[in-house]
Amino acid sequence: MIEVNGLTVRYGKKVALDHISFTISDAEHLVLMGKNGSGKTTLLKALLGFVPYSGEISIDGRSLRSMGRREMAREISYVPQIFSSTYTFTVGEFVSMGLYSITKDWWQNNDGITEYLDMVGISDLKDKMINNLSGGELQKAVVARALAQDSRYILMDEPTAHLDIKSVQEILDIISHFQDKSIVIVSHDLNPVNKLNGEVMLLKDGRIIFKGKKEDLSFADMIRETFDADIRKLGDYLYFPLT
Amino acid sequence: MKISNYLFTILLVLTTFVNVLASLAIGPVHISVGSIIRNMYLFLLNRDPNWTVSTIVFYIRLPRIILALIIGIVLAISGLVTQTIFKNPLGDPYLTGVASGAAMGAAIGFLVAPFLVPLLAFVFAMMAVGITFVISRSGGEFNTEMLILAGISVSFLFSAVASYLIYIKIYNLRGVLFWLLGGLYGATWMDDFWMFIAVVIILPVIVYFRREFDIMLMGDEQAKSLGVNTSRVKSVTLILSSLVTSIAVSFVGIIGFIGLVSPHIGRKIVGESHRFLVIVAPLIGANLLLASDTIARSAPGGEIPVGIITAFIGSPVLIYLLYRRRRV
Repeated sequence: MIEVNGLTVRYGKKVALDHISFTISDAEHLVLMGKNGSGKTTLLKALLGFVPYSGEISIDGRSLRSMGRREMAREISYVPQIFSSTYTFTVGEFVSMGLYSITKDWWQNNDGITEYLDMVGISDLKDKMINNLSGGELQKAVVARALAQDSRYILMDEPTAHLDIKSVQEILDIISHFQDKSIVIVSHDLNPVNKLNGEVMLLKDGRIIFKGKKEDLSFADMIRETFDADIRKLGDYLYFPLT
Repeated sequence: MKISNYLFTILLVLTTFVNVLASLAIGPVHISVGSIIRNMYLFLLNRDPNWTVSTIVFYIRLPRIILALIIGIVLAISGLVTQTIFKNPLGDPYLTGVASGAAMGAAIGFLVAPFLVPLLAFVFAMMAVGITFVISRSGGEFNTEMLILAGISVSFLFSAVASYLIYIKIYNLRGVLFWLLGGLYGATWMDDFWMFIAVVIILPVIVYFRREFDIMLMGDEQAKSLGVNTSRVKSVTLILSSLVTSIAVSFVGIIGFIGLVSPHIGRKIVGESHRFLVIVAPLIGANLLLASDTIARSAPGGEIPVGIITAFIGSPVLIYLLYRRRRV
C-alpha cells in the first residue's frame, strides 16, 4: 500500500500540490483526473521521486526518501508519455531495460521478456527498431517495459493521449487485465474512466476534490467541478449517433 | 548484426596494428616495414640491432605513436560520455570549458615561463570545468541544460582572457597557435606513461557504466524510474572525463574533432548501444588521431599542427554521416 500524507510540492512560489493525503491499495486501479495544471502530473512525479516534496510518501510503511533508485524501481514502474523515439534500439532491447532493477545485465536477458511482449501482444515486433514503431505500438512497448520491471505499482502518464481510437481500446484492454497490479493512470481523457473498473480521484488546484468509486460520481458534477466545462456543450462534440 | 559487430571490433584492432606499422615506416627517414620488425626483434632481444633504425623507432616514432593512440582514446571516450550524458550529438570533450581554460593557462604559461605551459594549462582547464560544474549543480545533481549553457559562458570568459593575453603580450604567435591547434611533437615515453595512467583511470569506469548509458539515452526521468542512479553516473563520468581531457590537453594542446567525430562513426557502424560503443569509439579515435598525426608530421614543408589535419579529415566525415542520416 502506498500512503501519501500531507504531500506538498512547490515550484518557486507556486503551490502545485497542497497538503494532499490519500492511499493506493494493492491491486487498486485508480484514474487520476483534472484539467491542465491541476497537479496530476506533479503528483505522479512526486510518487516517482522526480521532484522534491514535503510531507510523507511511504510504501508499506517505508518512506520513499529512504529508498535508493533501484529499490524504488522494484516497487514502482513508470509508463511515461513517449510520442516518438530517435534511438536505434530494438523493441527487445527497449523492453529489456525494464529488467535493470532486477539484474544489471539486462541486455543479456533477452528471453526474460518474452512473457511481457506476449502480454501486450507485440512478440512479433521484438527485433523491430523502436524508431520505426507506430504510436500505438510504441505505447505497448513502454507498457511491456513497465511490466518487465515486475513491480507492484505502475504509474501511467496519459497512456491514451495521442493514440487513435483502436490503439486506445487495445491499450485499455491490456491494462484492465492486470488485476494483480496497482495502477495509477493520469488522464484528462474520459476513456480510462469508462473502461477501467476502479476508483477515480479528481484533482483541482493542487487539492483532491473527490476520491471514490466512479459510480458515486455524477458525470455532470465532474465535468463542471473538475474541468470548469459546460456539460451542455459536450453534445457539440458528438457528431455521430452511438448506435 | 551482433556477429558483424564483433567482426568489426576485431577488424578495428587489426587496422590499429597496420596503422602503427605504417606510421613507424613513414617519416623524414623512410624505414621499410621489414626492417622495423627485424630491428624490433633484435632490439628487444638485445642482439645488436641497427642503432639508427632502433633509435628512430623506439625513441622518436613509437612514443609519439603511442601518445597519439592514447590521446585518441581519451578524446573519443570523453566525447562519447558528453554526447551520451547531454543526449546531444554535438557534445565534444571541450563542452565543459576544458579547452578555453587550457588556452588561458597556456597563454599565461607562454608569458611567464614556457616550461610551465602544460601545468598551467591543466590547472586552468580544471578551474574552468570546476566553475561550470558548480554553476550547473542543483539539488545534488547536474542539470544538463545548465551545464551546456554554463560551459559556453565559462568558455567565452576564459577565451576572452586568453585572447587578450595573446593579442597584447605574446609575440611568439606561431608557437601559441601551434599549441592551441594541438601537436604531438617531442612525445616521450614519460608522456606515454602519464597518459596511460589517465586511460587506466577512465576506461574501466566507462565500460562499467555501459549498461546505464544505454538506459540514460531514454532521458533522465525514464532512467530513474527504471532504477538508474543518474546523478551518480553523471557526476562520476563527467568529472572523470573532464579530468582526463584536461590531462590530455595539457600534454598535446587542443586537438579538435576527434572527440566529436569518433562516437558518431562508431554509432553508424555498431549502433546506439554502448556495449560495443565503449570499445569501438575509442579505437576509432585512436586510429583517426594516429593517421592524422602521421600526415601532420610528414607534411611537405615541415610539421603542421595535428588539429588542422583532424579538422580536415573530421569535418567531411561528419558531413557525410549527416547527409546519410538525412536520406534515411
